[in-house]
Amino acid sequence: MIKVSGLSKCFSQQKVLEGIDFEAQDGRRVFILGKSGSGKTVFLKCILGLLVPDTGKIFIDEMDITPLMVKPRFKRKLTRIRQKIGYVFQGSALLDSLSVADNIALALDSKNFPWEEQNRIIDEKLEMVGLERKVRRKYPAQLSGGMKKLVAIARAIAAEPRYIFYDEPTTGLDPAMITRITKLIIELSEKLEVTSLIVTHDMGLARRAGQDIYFLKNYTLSRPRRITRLEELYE
Amino acid sequence: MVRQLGRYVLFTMRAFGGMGYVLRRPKLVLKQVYTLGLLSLPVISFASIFLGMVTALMVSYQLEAGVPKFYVGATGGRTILIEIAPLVIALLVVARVGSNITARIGTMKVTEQIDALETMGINSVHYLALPIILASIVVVPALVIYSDLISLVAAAVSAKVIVNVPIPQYIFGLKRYATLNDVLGGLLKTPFFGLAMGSISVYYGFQTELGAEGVGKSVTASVVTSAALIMILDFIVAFWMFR
Repeated sequence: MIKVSGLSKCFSQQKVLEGIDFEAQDGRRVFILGKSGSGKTVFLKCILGLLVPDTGKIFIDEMDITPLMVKPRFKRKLTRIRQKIGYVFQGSALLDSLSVADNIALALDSKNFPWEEQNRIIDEKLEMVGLERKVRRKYPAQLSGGMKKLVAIARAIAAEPRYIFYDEPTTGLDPAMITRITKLIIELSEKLEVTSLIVTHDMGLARRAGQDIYFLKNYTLSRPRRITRLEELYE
Repeated sequence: MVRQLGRYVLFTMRAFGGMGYVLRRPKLVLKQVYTLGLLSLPVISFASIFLGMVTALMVSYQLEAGVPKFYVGATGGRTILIEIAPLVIALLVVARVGSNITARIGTMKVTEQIDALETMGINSVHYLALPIILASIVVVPALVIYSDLISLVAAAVSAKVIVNVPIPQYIFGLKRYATLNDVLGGLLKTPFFGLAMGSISVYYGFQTELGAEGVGKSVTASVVTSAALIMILDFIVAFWMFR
């Protein structure tokens, strides 16, 4: 379970998040909706420890990880926590200099698997996201935006995480790919029994795949009473 | 400036903290040796040929009539070994490789590729910075040795063709006056040049912020700082060895 209490974050004088309380129960698909620039990605990065919150506490599997972000001597502990989380970045963030297979293999870096086992996992994960084996050798520059996203999802699930974070998974994709990714998010959460935390401004995606929906507005999170009235929250 | 220097030193120390990680993955360093070293050979060869030719020409121009011709080999050769090849090649590597490293890592930073490494539990400084620094320490001396050889040959040939100094006389002058101290004096500083170039380039890459404009600023800062530090190191070694 992920639990956040009283989380605040400012950049210089700019307030982004204030006093946020949040909970993601195991196995759920939790959506955080909000306008562009409302602080959704900052919230995700705070949970991962990529950004250090100004105040508040973050618990992952009942462990308070906030002290681990501040002190460098706890870096290893934080790394172990991060390995429980797969992250799909908004721009995919695949390493340009590595092939698709090597990008996925990076997620297995700490596991020290033999090469054959690594290969098997790469093929398995590519198949799970619906990509053919022949993309293994391609480089990110040779892939379309949608394919990059699928590879990023394959990389995120490679190390069999307990949690998957998606940052705007459908932004900039065509309708067919949006449908494919939506189905994949649902399928993976059920098949792998992972907790999915998805930040997006795509209400359609939230309606189709969301189980718990939060809305980020005016620096705080709230839970709308009815899913059908999401549009009103944007006003 | 002091704060920046402190950050740079801490960053470099953090990078060397990943020695165990990199030693278990020697491929990371070998890949950089290929990228930084082998791919630099054409431009280094081109520059070295002209370095040798211009050195022979300038030395013969400065030697007055009546001075034995083998002095072209003695003075020109020593100048190449001690100063010109190490300094010019190091600056050329900064321009070709250092700028590339900063731009590459800076782009990785602004496109969240470095964050992606961290989320996968990979220490990005160990994974990206240390292999480049280690490769630079190896590659710069190797490129300077290669450049020494090419420049000396080019200088001998151009001395013969342009100013009519027979090659045996050129070699005689070089053998008679160039000492081991000259060769070592030229080569000793090159690992430090490599360390400076590699560490500064990755440091500025990691400091990049604010998109494409930030990448441009980082590259400029990296090239200027590396070049300045290389010249300072060059003076320190010259002062220590040849005073």
